Amino acid sequence: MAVQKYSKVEPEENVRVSVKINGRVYAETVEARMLLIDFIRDVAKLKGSKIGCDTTSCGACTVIVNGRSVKSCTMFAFEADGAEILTVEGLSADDKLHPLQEAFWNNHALQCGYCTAGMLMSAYYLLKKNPHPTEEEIRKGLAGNICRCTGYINIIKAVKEAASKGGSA
Amino acid sequence: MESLTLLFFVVEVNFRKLFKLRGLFNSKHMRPASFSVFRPLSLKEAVGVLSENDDAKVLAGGQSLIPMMKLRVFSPPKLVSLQRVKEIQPKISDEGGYISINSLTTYEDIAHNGDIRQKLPALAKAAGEVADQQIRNRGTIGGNVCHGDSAANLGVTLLALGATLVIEGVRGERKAGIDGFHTGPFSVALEHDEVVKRFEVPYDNSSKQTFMKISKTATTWPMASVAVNISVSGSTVAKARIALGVAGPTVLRAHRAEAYLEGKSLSADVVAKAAELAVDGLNPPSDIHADSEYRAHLLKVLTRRSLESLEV
Ligand SMILES: Cc1cc2nc3c(=O)[nH]c(=O)nc-3n(C[C@H](O)[C@H](O)[C@H](O)COP(=O)(O)OP(=O)(O)OC[C@H]3O[C@@H](n4cnc5c(N)ncnc54)[C@H](O)[C@@H]3O)c2cc1C
Ligand code: FES
Ligand code: FES
Repeated sequence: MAVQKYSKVEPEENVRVSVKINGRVYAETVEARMLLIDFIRDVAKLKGSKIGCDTTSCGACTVIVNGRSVKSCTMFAFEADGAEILTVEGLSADDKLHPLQEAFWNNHALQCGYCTAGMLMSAYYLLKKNPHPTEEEIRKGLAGNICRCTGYINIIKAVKEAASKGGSA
Repeated sequence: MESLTLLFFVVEVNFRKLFKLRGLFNSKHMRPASFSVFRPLSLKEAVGVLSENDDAKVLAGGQSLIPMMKLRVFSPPKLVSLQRVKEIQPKISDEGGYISINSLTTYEDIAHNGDIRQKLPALAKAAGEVADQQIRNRGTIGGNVCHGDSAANLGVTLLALGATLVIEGVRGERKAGIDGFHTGPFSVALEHDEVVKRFEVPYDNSSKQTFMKISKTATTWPMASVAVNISVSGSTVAKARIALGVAGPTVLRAHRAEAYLEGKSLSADVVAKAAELAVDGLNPPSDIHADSEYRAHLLKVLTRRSLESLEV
């Protein structure tokens, strides 16, 4: 992580933010108050991550920052300066869906799809930490993500299937 | 100082109401007002900036401050981001007799740390049960305690564990016990220029401890919470500390129940009596989730269950 040196600490109203999202660097000077979700959607123009509640409750905005799942509506873009970020767009590789995406497809784990990007990123984090979760652990791992279509049963099935196929890859 | 904390109290309480009535409020704003940010690299720089800027507010994990700023119930014109302050980066170390936890350590770090799980199981449990995974990945022990919410999982637990806070200000470092640190709703005994550096949490082999909460859903704020910490000698209680969350304006100790337990063994009758004493004369707040009477009932049940769960 690139840490800048300050001889004297000055207040900054605009901050230079440089982040690597899905392997590509995006650098831009933005207002200090810009949220990470707005940087991802409006500066990097990656529209997969969604804003659901905007009150830290629904998880639709979940992305992985330096290996940790976070709600990007509740983090300032400047706090991600120097970070590596993974969004839903970075899950598939070589035109092949990620095993989690395959499993969501197979199990009808999405209806309107609004929660899906966040669900996938929370499930991705869960399987990275715990490749063989119990159903209880899956439920706990996804507790910060709300599906307004209430399709939870199929979402849990999908995560189980991805785990059984080694879906943390 | 007083007026600032009062202001903070008023806006925070409104925030809680708004938060709890999510869907009923009709805020125009979901983005914070403009502010400028200081990004100090050392504690000296951080407290220096705070002492020169009366209107600056410290930002740690942001999991309480950012939601409030987005709703504009609180709009500090200046933030001091602790993110790069080297002395308080996430760190947990066993110092022999106590575990030292730097203030930027997240709930996730605490919940999975081997020393904490073994020597301070109540703290590991409390951290593992804060909100949800994403919030646990960002929220910090320093923010949880300094926010001064009577419902804070770690605030309650550290009170039962008798933690010591190490605080840095422009006049240097000082230590303060957690008893007396919470001075009122959402206010704590910190000067404007002060930052909590780390926590020293004592452990001993004879301690039996746990944390329990009751929430509407897994991820919502607790309606009630309890942390108990009992030192046993033989089969009797040598020393007891019991802390209650959402029981009053601040996290509170159940002093009468603690005194009653000393010298007794934890029979069903003793536990039931201690639970009665824990809520005797208590006047917990009422809100849409629970009224005062129901909350007192929950606190009593949680106190009983916590004590019952200890393997003494
Ligand atoms: C949906 C939701 C549900 C939640 N549920 C729970 C729950 O069930 N239990 C629970 O305990 N918490 C819960 N939280 C709150 C969460 O734990 C926050 O992380 C915590 O209240 C604040 O910690 P923070 O690091 O995020 O601090 P911030 O939001 O950055 O700061 C909070 C306050 O503390 C001050 N501060 C922070 N660090 C320091 C320091 N080192 N020195 C001096 N002052 C400091 C800040 O100036 C600010 O006033 C929930 C939050 C959300 C959004
Ligand atoms: S939009 Fe971020 S949690 Fe709902
Ligand atoms: S699929 Fe519609 S919100 Fe989950």
